Amino acid sequence: MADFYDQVLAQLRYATAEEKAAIRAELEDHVEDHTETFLDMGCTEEEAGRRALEAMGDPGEIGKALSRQYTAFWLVMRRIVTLLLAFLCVSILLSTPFHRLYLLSGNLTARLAPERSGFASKRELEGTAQALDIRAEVGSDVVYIYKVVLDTDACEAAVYLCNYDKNPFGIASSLLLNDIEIVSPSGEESRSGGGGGNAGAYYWCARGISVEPGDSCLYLKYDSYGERISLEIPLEWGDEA
Amino acid sequence: MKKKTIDHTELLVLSLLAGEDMYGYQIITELARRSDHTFDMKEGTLYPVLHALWKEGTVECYEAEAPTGRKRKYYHLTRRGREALKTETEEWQRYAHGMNAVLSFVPAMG
Repeated sequence: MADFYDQVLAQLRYATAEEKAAIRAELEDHVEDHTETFLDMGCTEEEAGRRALEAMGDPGEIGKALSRQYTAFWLVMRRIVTLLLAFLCVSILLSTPFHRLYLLSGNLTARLAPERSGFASKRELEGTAQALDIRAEVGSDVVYIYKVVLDTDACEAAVYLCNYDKNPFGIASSLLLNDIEIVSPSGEESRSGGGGGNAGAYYWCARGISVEPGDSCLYLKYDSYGERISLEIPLEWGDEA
Repeated sequence: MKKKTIDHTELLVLSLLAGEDMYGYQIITELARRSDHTFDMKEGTLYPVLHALWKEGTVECYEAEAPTGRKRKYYHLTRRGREALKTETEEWQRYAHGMNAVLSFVPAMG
């Protein structure tokens, strides 16, 4: 019995495995129905099966006739379409500016949760931390002061800030923090020499700024490339005034 | 003589499916019955015909339960198939008429 179907399918060089399985199933169903007819006519099971199969005809002939519908042409077409689709997917992937997504990620982190960034200083400092949200536009960037730590015993402050592009997909200025000064009322300055980041955002922690007890704030000053800003960074001394 | 554009077996199958959707074995038995066994083809050779029609788009297929209770692959005549059937039937009738005219021609006795 298996011989018949195998002989038919042997002629189908270019059909896929699924197509062959479908053809086999259809032929088997037909033989099953015809066998049933012969059984109804009173044949033995063996005879019914044999006669039904005989009635199908020459398997080679059937296979050859079928192979005209399952030609190399369609196999090639299928392969070409698959390749084109794969090519299309790859080219879409390549043209997608993944670096832009990377920028977006960095930008949004700075904007919304700067402390989460790997570039934000995680060093434990003595003193009380105060979350801030002081932002100012500098050119196409935004400067964001997000935290200050005040050590009331040592009279030192640390200011945490970052900058990101106004456009979430934009590149942050890598020079901006270099030109920022954190100034205490007494006049000590701290200029950015460190800090870091990537094109999404840059971070800096300005540490060890001497302050006088009672200084109400520090100042952030920037004056470069035609932009000038001055921000007040409040200091909470708590009970000590 | 004009070349027939459609295989006569294909035309017969299309004609059968115009009435109702059928599966392979059903088509064979119906064909034999309606043609009074004139068309008693080798059953396996029906399937290349069906697959050819399917590739052309004149029929489509689906799985359904046959009266026997078993699942079978049914064939359905599409709109395109109906149009083809109409065109080819007309073509066939023209052909048959032509044949008959020639075969039944009795030369005038001179």
